[in-house]
Amino acid sequence: MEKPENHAMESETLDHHKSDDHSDESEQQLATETPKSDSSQLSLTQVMEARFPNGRTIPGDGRFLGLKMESSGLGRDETADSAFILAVNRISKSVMTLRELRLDSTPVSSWLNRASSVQNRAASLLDEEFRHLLDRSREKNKKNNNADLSSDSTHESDRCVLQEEETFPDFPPESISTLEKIAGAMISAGYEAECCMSYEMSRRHAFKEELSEVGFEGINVEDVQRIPWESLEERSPAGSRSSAAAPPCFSPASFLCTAVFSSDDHAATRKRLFTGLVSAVTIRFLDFSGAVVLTKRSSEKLFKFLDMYETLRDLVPAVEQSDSDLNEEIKLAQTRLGEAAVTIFGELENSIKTDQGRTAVPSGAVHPLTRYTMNYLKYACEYKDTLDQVFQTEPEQETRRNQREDDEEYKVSAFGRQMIKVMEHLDANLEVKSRLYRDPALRSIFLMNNGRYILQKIKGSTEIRDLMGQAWTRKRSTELRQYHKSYQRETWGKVLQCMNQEGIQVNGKVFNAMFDEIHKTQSTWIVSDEQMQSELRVSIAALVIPAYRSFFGRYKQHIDSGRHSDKYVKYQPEDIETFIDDLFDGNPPSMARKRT
Amino acid sequence: MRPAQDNQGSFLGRISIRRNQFTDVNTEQEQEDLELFQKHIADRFTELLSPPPPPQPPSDETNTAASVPATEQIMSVTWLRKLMDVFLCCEAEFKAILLMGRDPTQISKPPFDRLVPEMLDRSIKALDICTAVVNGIDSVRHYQRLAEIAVAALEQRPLGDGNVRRAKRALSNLLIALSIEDKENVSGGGRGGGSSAASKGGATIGQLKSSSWAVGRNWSAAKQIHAMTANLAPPRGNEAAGLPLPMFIMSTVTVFVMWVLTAAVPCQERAGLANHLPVPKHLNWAQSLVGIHEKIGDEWKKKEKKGSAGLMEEMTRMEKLGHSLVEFADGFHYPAEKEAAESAAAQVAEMAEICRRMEEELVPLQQQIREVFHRIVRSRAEILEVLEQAGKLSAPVV
Repeated sequence: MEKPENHAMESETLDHHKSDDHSDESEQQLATETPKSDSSQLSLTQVMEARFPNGRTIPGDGRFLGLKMESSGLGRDETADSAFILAVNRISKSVMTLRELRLDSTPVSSWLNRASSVQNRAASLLDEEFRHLLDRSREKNKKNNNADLSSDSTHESDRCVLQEEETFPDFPPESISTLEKIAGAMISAGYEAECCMSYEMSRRHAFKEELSEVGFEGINVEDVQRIPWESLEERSPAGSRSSAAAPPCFSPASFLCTAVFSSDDHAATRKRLFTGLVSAVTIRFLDFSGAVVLTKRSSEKLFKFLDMYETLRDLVPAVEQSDSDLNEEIKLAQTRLGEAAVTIFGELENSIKTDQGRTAVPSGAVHPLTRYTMNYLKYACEYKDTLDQVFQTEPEQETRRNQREDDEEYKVSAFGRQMIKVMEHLDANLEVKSRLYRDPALRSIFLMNNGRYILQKIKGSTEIRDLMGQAWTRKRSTELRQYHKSYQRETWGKVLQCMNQEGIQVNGKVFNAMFDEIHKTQSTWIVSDEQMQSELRVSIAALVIPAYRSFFGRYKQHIDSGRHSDKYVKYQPEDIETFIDDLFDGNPPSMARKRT
Repeated sequence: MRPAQDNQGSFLGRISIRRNQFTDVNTEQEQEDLELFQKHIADRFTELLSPPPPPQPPSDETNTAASVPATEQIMSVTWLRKLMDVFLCCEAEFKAILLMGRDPTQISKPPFDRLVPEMLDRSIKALDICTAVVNGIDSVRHYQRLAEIAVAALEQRPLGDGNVRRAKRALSNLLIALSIEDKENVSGGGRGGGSSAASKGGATIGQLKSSSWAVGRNWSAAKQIHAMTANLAPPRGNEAAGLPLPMFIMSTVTVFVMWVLTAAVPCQERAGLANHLPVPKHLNWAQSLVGIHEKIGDEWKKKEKKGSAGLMEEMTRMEKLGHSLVEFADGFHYPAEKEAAESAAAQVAEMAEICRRMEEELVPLQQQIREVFHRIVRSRAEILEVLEQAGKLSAPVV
């Protein structure tokens, strides 16, 4: 803490000392002089003592302050500091009293002059200390955070200077108490304007630095149009969903000014400072969201738009409590963001509708479009409340809505309806894609794969599941079973048929040929979902093996007789089991396995 | 795709489909509209150049018929607010001309395939300038607060040493801020940005810099304005008769307004704010514009030599008063000498009046500029929509 002399101008220091030399004399004079004009008038001292029976006499305060300010300044000794502030407050009170009394006498004016001088110097000192305290705590905390970047919690609290929990992690309670005392002293001395100015500067600076740390440093509209989206994403001031849920950053109680300017007398000041900071913060976010919303709409931007939407929504309580006039602007910004989100979602639907590949996915596997869409929707569901809000303001076509409202199944939210629309498009698209497969069995496998993927994604997330509703989920399960049955019928129908017929020689050959063909082909098919894969195999086995055993058993004697047995019946039932396990592996079967 | 809803209604709804029928009628109507547009521009700016004197109150002896009250002078806050109103009117009229009843494919064909993107690009730059100016007004409000401290201190009776010192500190900070504004760069941090004289007591200049908002790194208002004038040339030949003309006019008006704002308010990086705007002096509608431009340009040249914060009329007066009052403060010794005190008191009253005016008008001005911002955004969105519509209409059916 610099001594006052270091930063006082030369002339002023001399001035101060000069007045100090005389201060004792004139103060004694003030204390003892009795105005000659009217004996009924009380002496100054009597007046003072009447008002301030306890504590030191006022001249003493002045002397004390003078000494203090010459020496160490604030910040070293807490008791001395408290005494200092107390003395300042007493001087302020006496100045106020004297002014109210409007005593028209030279000693009074002279005393007031000296007092104003002392107040001025004290206020400067307090102001310096005030700013130091505000800035020092923040810098100390920043050093700690830089050293300890791994700790998530400090990072979280550092993320938003306004998001300070009850205990204001940047400011220990002693600091806050000192800040409060200093603010009170400055305000009593009539230096509220300087105090508020210092406070605002410091907080704005802190906030600005915080934004810089996340790379968001005065983004302008032109930059936002130019910068590739990915680098912009990291730079946004809004919290990201992937990190720990952002605690509410902007609740009014969490603003430091409520603690520093806590007394009832300071309510107006507090409100003003609060309003100023809330406005500053809000306008930054409004600017950023305004710039972002002007960029070309594309699907990956949805989530950042929604983040901004939510951040703005979180700001509303603070804005409403303040005197700032930004509610309309916030609503406007949210509307624009909402419209953008709706557009992006609509484009998702369009891109699904128009996705027309001419080549089928090999092996009937899950189509990339399915993966993309489902993952996108899953992520979108994390914002389902916000998306609900956004879509609720979207007027839906009347006919559809009436239809939906009648249908029990479709008592879903606004966003739920959108999800269902997207799913329906996806289904329709997959249906078309499935027809690219000439083999009806492969078609079924394709539909099973994709249907299963979709179903698993939905079941895997409570939000989507609740959003889509149970009826919808059940319907999809039913469809899956139907595809399964189709598959069985198409692939194994004829196989079973031939096993039921008479004539080992013909049917044995037919079976072998069919089975080999199936084995060769369908081993290269893919069923991605392990459980479904195993279910398929099990159901095929359950279908085929008993039939084969009985078929095998009927002609056992022929085989045992050893004559051309290989020609008709190549496989043991166990072999069939093994081969079935090859199915849907995605790999061509190794020939060596034939004779195990 | 849903057209953006706003209270001006959707322009798409007004686009007539019967192209053949209205083309002939349209050209006549269009001509009329264009001429009216030019006349309105001329009228509005003429009023800005020399506002009509207010009705003289009989008791007012200070007002002469020829003088304009200080509050309405060019570059005063009130005048700037009027300028914003004028801009919004011109913009609304222009948009109507551009989009109403217009075949969307018309504005996607040459020469509009070049003119429209240029105009949209200018609008983006204008947005950033609006933001910078709004930030700059925050600085002006800071100056206002410093001035208010000085006023409150100097209004104290009896006037003591402490009061005067307090006023002097505030005024010194104010004057330094006003004079170093353009010389100092907006650096990211540190409180050492100010001179040592300013760094004792009170909010430091460095603090002011470090806590004010920047519109991007290396962003310069002067450069943006210069960039906005690129390709800004009056249309020639047959283009001069049609839509390109109002587009040129509106672009010129936009650039001009942005230029005025940048000159008036301390903005990020104004060094080299080109005095030279490509406003064609010979065109009728532009006469008053040119007049205003010249007046401001002259002032700017004077100020640039001294390095001053901004041409806003109130700030200029504040600076003068500030210097004078600092002189008073330097010569002050308790008790105050009667004549000096009276003269100072008069100046303090004037300063107080400036502060009052600022208190009334600065925030509304900020709000107006934000309104301009939103209007530009909306118009841009509407134009883009129409272009998209044009794209769909002219594309082969899939």
